[in-house]
Amino acid sequence: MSVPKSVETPSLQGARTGTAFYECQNVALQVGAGTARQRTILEDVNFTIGSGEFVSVLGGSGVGKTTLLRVLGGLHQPAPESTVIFRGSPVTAPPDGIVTVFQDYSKSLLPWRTVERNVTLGIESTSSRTERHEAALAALRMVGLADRRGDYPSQLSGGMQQRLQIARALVMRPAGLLMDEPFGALDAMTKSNLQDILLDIQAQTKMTIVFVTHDIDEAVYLSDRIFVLGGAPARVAAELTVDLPRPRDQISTKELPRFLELRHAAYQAIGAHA
Amino acid sequence: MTAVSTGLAPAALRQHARKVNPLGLLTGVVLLAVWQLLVAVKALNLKYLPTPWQIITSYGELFTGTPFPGALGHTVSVTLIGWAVASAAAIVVALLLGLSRIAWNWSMSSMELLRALPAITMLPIAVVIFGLSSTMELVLVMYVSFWPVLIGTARGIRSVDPLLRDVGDTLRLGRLAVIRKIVLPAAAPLCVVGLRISLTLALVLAVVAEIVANPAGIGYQIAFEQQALRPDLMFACIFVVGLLGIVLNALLVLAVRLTMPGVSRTLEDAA
Repeated sequence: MSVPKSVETPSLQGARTGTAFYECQNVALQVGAGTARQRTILEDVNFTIGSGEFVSVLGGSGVGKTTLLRVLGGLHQPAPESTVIFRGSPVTAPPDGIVTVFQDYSKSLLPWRTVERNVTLGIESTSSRTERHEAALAALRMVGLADRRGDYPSQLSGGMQQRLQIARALVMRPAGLLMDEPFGALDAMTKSNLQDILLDIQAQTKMTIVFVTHDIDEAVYLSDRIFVLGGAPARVAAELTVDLPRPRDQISTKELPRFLELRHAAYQAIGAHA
Repeated sequence: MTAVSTGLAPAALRQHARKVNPLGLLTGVVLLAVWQLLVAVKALNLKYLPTPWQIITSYGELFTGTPFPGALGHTVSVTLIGWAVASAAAIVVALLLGLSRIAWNWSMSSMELLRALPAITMLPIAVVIFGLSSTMELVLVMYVSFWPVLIGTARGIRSVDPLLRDVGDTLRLGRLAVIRKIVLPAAAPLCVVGLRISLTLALVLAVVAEIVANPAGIGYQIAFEQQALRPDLMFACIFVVGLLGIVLNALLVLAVRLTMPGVSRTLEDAA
């Protein structure tokens, strides 16, 4: 295989440091168990994600990226032999400190609530009215929506709606975000704008981010590491370490020869396992 | 359009008033004028058809010289009480059906069957059980009000996007909070549609019960004036029933706007 040396075989290298954020071993998942339509989606998926890392899960559509993310988020139970550990405890329900941001932003917002009250949805039982207001305002400022807090989601553009969903996650002060193709439905300009907002937020909060995408350029631009998911059933077919300098820039980062190399490697890894 | 001087959510009230369609009202006035003209030139020469003017001038007598005010109060209160009690019960039952697949599977066919049965066929049954009484009328109103609210609310609850439940889970809302903050508001538009249909049907059935069986209310007076050969008063009563339907519906929509501003935004999609 003539891939650059940054492509490694799936490994548990993060586990050695002892600061594992997520630790997945032998993760498998079947649907339609016991019926004629039984199908294995994931099999023998192994990886470790360190605290503060930006990891992308890259793969073709239908390969099982979203399913894997739902398993990490505790929204979907994997097969019994799987081990999914979040900060030392097995994941059996959505773990504290993790929020999932969904691809379909328009359907994941509450249309009858204003922007601000959408943001406070997750903190209403744990905070006073003033605390809520302050926290919502801070989260909305991070995504640049503070001046739209009295509007309803239907009055926002698609990009703004997705920023709103991100603010609703941020207000929970999560240690990690799981993002399921969050920018997949947006136009190119909005998309690059949101990518930079996300990188800014991660630089400020030091959050761990697991980012599912089928966009190779996006994965290389954003990530520290990329897991390429491939095969049927899917497993981690390749792992790339993205050693591009931060902060990243839409123009200059993407002109770096290293960016092109990594992009090349990612395309090859996907092509080899499509 | 009249200026509304309530301090309470003036924007909602203004939006409400904007729904009045002056051209549509004009059409009604023209139709009344044509009716007046046809009777006046004897093109329409039915012995007991009054002119609109005769009807309008009979309102003074209707309100002061007949038991009409009490009848109006009776019909309005039976309609509203029956509708409100039945709606509250329907929402509770709908919650049960919407949240429990077992309850849904066991009961839905029977519900569809009962719902398809015209409510008016329940009138003879109600008379047999409760006699020619206001209890009979009230029960009939409750029966007819129950179904649209039940079906609307249950469908609303069942149609909540599964993604919204995932949102509740990932934000760790807990089961009760998911129901209160996500499921119920998401179901509210279809519930309100049910409430509006119910209110209209409740008034219709109240008046029918009064015309046919219960000697009380506007319905009874319509029948009475007809027997008394006072078609002007009869028509005057009928117009009041029509107006009542419009006013009750408008009040309901206004109440939803004022109490649930966010929900009423999504109402137009559901209606």
